[in-house]
Amino acid sequence: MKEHIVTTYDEDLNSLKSNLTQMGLDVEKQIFEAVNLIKIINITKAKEIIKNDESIDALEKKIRGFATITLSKRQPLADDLRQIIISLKISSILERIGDHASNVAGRILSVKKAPDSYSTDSIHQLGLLVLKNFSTALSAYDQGSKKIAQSVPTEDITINSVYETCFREHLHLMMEDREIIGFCTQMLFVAKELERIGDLSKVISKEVIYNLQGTLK
Amino acid sequence: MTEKIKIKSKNVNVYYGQKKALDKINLEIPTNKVTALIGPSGCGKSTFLRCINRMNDTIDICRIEGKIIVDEEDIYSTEVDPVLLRAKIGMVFQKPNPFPKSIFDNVAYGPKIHGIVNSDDELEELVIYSLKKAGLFGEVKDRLNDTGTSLSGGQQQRLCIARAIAISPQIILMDEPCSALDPIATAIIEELIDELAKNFTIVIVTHSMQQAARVSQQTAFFHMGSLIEVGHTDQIFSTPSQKKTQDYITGKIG
Ligand SMILES: Nc1ncnc2c1ncn2[C@@H]1O[C@H](COP(=O)(O)OP(=O)(O)OP(=O)(O)O)[C@@H](O)[C@H]1O
Ligand SMILES: [Mg+2]
Repeated sequence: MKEHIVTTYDEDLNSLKSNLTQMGLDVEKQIFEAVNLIKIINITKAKEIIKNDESIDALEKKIRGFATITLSKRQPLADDLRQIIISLKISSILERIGDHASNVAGRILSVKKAPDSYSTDSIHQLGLLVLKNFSTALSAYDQGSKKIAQSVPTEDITINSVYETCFREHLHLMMEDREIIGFCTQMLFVAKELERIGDLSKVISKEVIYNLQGTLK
Repeated sequence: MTEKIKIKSKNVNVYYGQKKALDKINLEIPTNKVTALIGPSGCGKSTFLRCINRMNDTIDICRIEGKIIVDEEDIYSTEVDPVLLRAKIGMVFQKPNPFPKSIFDNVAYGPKIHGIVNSDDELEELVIYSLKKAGLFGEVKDRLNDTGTSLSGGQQQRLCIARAIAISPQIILMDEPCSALDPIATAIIEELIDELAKNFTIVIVTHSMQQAARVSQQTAFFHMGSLIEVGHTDQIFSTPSQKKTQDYITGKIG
């Protein structure tokens, strides 16, 4: 990789990228913890996740501020400019994904305990798929890989069908046992949050592809 | 580009003595558009600009091969009178170079020697028109008899632009016209370039990538005497196709 004549320029761009990578890892951890909550409900953990969302929001603001200063200081062009624009876009998507993870924790907080008859397997399974596809989207950005990015939308199709299955399964559960309607409704909201994270991972992968299309052949 | 072409260079080589300064330059410059020439110092931008109005003729050791075609006519053919040619092409230099004459006479000089006007009234009208076009009239209307050199740098540059416009050229060549100007004077000149591009074909050499991106529609990147890449300005500055171009505009080495 060629370097800029002005070394502080490289330092600025590198630090932008490392802040974004950090934000990605933090959000990944939030999703991981939130998905775990589905299996093992843990009030303390749930509160922790909601609290941690603040630091993710703060990271987004930091990246935005940093990008703004770099734009005005360096007036970047070509690939440098694209790198800054994608940092802004991805950080704002990550911030929204963070919100969805925190919402999952919020729902879990409000149900407190699963009914004995209920199995969390299917939604937990959905969560694992979503987490995995999110990680794939992140590494597509990290490695600048079109190939990895292209696998994300394909996998999202599977996620959507698993979501549909969860949805139908919960309808059945609710029809069979009125006692758990309240609980199942909350879990359907959880599933919806996860499905949204899936969609947003797809958006990240599309940004990565768009960004790569502008690069040299 | 599919626009009408004003200037076409065909396999242009330029030598200063033994040294080759430009190598096989093929470049088309569209009519009534702004074309920016960019590239590192010494790559041949000014040399190329001087080919277009045959200013290189005045340099003894300079030799040119190939063709420069302006409006379908090879300007280096023996039938072309360089003086008439230069009446069609205005030039603005990096350093403002007003004549040691009054503001009025600086602008009036060209039209007089080229016999563009028939009466003093017409001349005065043309001088005022040119000063207005160059965005300078308001600042100098009460002191047209002061010397051109009494103006500030930015005003002098606009005076030189007025002088270039006064001969009603079809082409204006600008060699780093803003390099000595502050941001406000630069903005005024850039605004003027936008305005002038409605009626003139403009070729501008600039070391500011941002300026090239702002004022031009076409950008050509020169490197060590060769034309590396030419294309729509938006494309050159967002997605250049040559690595050399990208490294230059983003300031990279290694
Ligand atoms: N009058 C001259 N006599 C001899 N060599 C010259 C002359 N003018 C230019 N050159 C040489 O031709 C090459 C191109 O010079 P030119 O002035 O066209 O470069 P440039 O791209 O305009 O550079 P800059 O950005 O510094 O103005 C350089 O190597 C320069 O030394
Ligand atoms: Mg020059």
